[in-house]
Amino acid sequence: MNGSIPPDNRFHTTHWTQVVASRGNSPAAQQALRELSVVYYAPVEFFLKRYRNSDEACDLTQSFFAKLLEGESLQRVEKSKGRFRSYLLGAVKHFLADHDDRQRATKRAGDKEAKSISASSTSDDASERNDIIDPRGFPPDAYFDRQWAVTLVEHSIETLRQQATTLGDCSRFDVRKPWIVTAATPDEAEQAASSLGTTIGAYNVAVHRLRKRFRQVVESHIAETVSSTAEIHEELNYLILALTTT
Amino acid sequence: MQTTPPTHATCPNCKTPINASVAAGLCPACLLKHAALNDDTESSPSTQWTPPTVAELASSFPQYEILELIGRGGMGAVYKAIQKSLGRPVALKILAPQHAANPSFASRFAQEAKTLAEVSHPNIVAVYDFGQTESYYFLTMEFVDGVNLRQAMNAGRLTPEQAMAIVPPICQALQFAHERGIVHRDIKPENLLLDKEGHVKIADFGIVRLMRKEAEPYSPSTSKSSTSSDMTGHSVLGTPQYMAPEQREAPSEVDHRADIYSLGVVLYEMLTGEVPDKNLAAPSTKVQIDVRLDSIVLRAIQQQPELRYQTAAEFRTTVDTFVSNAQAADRRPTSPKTVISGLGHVTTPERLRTFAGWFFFHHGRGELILDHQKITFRFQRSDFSATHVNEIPLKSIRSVEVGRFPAWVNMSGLDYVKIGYEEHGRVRMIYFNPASRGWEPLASLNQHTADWCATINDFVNGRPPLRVPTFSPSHARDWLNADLCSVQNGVRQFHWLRIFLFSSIAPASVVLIVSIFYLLARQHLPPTELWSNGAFWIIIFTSWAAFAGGLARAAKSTRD
Repeated sequence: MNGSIPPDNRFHTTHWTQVVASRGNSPAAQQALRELSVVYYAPVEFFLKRYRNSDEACDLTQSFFAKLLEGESLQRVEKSKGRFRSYLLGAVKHFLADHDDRQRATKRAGDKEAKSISASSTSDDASERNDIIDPRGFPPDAYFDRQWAVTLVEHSIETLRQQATTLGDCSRFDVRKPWIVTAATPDEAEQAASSLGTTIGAYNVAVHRLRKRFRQVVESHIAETVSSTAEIHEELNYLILALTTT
Repeated sequence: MQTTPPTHATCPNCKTPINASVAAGLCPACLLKHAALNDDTESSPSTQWTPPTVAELASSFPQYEILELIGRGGMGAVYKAIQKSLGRPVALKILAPQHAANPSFASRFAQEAKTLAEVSHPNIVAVYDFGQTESYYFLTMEFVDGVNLRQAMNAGRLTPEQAMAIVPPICQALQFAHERGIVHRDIKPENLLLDKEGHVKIADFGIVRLMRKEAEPYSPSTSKSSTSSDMTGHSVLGTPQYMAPEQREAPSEVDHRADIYSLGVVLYEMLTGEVPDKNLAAPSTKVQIDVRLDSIVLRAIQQQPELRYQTAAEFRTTVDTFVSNAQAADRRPTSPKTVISGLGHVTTPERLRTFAGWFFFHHGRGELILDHQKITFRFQRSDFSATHVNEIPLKSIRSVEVGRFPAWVNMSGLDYVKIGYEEHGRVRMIYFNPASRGWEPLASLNQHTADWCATINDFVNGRPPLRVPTFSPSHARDWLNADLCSVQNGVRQFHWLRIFLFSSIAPASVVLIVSIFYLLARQHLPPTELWSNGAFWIIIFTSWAAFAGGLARAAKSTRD
């Protein structure tokens, strides 16, 4: 084992590395990009809602991803550099600027229907979901990063839930999941264990495994969006900062 | 299935508001922190690393004779080895390869190791050498023959004195390093080594920093301003329980005060056996220790760095002052100030087991005095025993509680203070019930007893008493007979006398008087005819028999 990189340490090909490698031209890369887009649709939409009203933002998000999946913009992606998050934010900004240019051009061309450019995020169903994060309190990049981190967490929890559902113990997952972050008091653990009909020992082991799986899932999801192993923890730390910095 | 999901409006960990519809109602930040912090090597396949065996290492390090693997962690593994050229034992630390994956690691490693080598202090594990073989980055360090503080704590709880002795040298070492701009960032019991002579040394200085730097980005990411890319470099590495809050939340703002926090947590753990939880309960509420330690410990673990000791030297001075004060207090031959005094009954379980004690005939007059160091029993009249003073130092007191005398002593329930104390390695008990005024209602007497108990308890626990009861000895002086009837304290020579009094004379006299009264009053015998009555002689005989029986028992008791 001397000298060689341990096998676990090798970075497997991920969605983002595939996309970068082929600049989005291969079918596999297309598929990978599509999957990434599904997961990280929300941060882009929230980001755009800062600049446009809700309906328009939805339209813009759709056309942005449609354009992204056409693959034109990927020609600019540099090999072995950058992460999907950074790339996507850059692309969205670029897209928005383009869109504004076109809109101005249309207006100059005599279009009567002027639209407000100012952000007017009205209270609708989306803002309800979003009320832990105050969009006005952050610079746009930080806001995007924060949404990204929340999306990653949700995606990870969802993955765990799906795993649990396939194994047929979704309800157990629901009981255990709060303890991923919080250390249960002995009383709480006992209560939870008895509600699942297991012993405390078995329950604690299950929670421990759940925490472990959660870590693995988060790491694997981050791995999909970065280009090397070393970047996984860096990205994770970055996202923690994005969530905690006020 | 509807159990326990705590649906807090705020996150129970970080107290930030959370939204029930986001991330299943869990705090996203805490979830991610959790994913980052619990980076134990077993659980995460991407960081798993098996340290090489001694045989595997031997070929890479011909200049050392590798003896054994003595420790491993997330950062690497430590081996005991002999440096062949000098014949000295060294600790050889191999860094886990994933830390060295970054190509610029080598130059930083060299730079850091040079800095570490400059930190030469008797309480810091010295770095002898560093370098890189074809497969490993390594450091060789002073080999400390002993245990780490974790092992020492596992072996047995440290006394407060031992704990306080460990802190000043660590502070000295930290101050030395801090002055040179080096922050440890991972002070924890595992990193504090105790050698066989009892010296303490800090290990792994700067390793965390080295590892942290390793996580810095290769280049600023495209969309980030320079400040935010700086921030990505400060990753959340360290040991969570010992980590200062700012180390978790704003790694960019970490300075030397994070070490002071960590050391405070270590001290807390040494004193109480556990690391502080969120409530930051004062150590003295968990274990019996000097209450003045609370403020010393709690100041070190303040959440805001500004409220902590600002330098390790300040921390050390505070601890030193406390220790020298405590030692001075032990040595001081003073006449301590009396807190309360009063008359009272005193007895011991041994005494209560004797015949006379059984009837509670054990009172002598005596004064009870409580001062800041001891309880004193001073006898004012030598009736049964010679005048003597008996002292119980507060330090030797192990328990103070209220007990109740059996019903034949007082039908309505008289309380006494029960003190357990240690004498010559044995735990002994003493009972006393203080009395203040001549004839007081029982409830009031019991109240005094409770006051004494509470006051002694407060002093034993090092707290100033909430209330000091007042006692006026003068009232009770004449009728109370308080005596420390300790079998072990020379009272026994008079034991037979009491037995004699209470088991010979008393029953004989009673029999005599009652019988004569009976004969005279009930049988209407004139006194002159008493001598001729047969019953009279039977009575005389019976009372002599009772007297002789009591005498025999008293004589027997002197032989025992």
